[in-house]
Amino acid sequence: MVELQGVFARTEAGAAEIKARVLELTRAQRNLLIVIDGKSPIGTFAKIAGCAPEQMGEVLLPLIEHGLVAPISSGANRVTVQSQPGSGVALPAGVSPALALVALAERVFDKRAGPVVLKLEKAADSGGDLLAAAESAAKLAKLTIDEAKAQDFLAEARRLISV
Amino acid sequence: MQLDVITIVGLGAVLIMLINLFQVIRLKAQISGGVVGKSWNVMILLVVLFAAGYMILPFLATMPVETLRIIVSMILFFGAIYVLVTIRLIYGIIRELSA
Repeated sequence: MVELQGVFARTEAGAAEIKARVLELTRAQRNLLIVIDGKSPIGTFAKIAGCAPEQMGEVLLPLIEHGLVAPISSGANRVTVQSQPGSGVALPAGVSPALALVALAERVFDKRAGPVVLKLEKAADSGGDLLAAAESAAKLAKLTIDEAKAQDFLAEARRLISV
Repeated sequence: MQLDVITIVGLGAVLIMLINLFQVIRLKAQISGGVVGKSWNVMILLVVLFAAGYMILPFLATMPVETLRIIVSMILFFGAIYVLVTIRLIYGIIRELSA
């Protein structure tokens, strides 16, 4: 049983896995690995990881078993989660907007997120304008994945970036 | 089968159409939906029809004139649809990119 108030951090292996995608992680596991920040209680990541809080245990345990994340405290250094009024997504403290966008893309487009995620990661790596990258990724999604989901993604992305 | 210029051109057309078929199916994996995805299924269907239609090219000489006329008119008809779908697709892409 995972304590939802527990705080976990990404290990070096976890950071490498985000780029390499060697392990066959589920969408929720990958999202959680991306947004986990070593500051916020694990329970606060449920929504952005795309799973219910009671499912966090089954999402988190494989990450711990693979050594991708590790507990760092019992919640003593907890950081308050910022939330945007009217926003469906809360951006946990310490999570970069670029990583949150990647997690959002994987949540919205599911298995078809590949090209959109690549585009976002490329923009993040080059330090480009994140909003422009999100708009460009949404256009790509509108052309090749799903028009309605692309609009949802762009609306959520704009909220995330403005947090 | 007589190997004259018409047959060689026909076999070339079949070969190119089979390459088109391979590419249009392979690209489908990257285009699961959206503006392009909607047109892509129609394009796959048309390329399959063309590939099937082109297969008869090497046997043209043995066919009755009436059958030949029907086949040629069908190929021209679906060719026109293919061009229409392609133009609309390009227009849709330009509209999305300039939005």
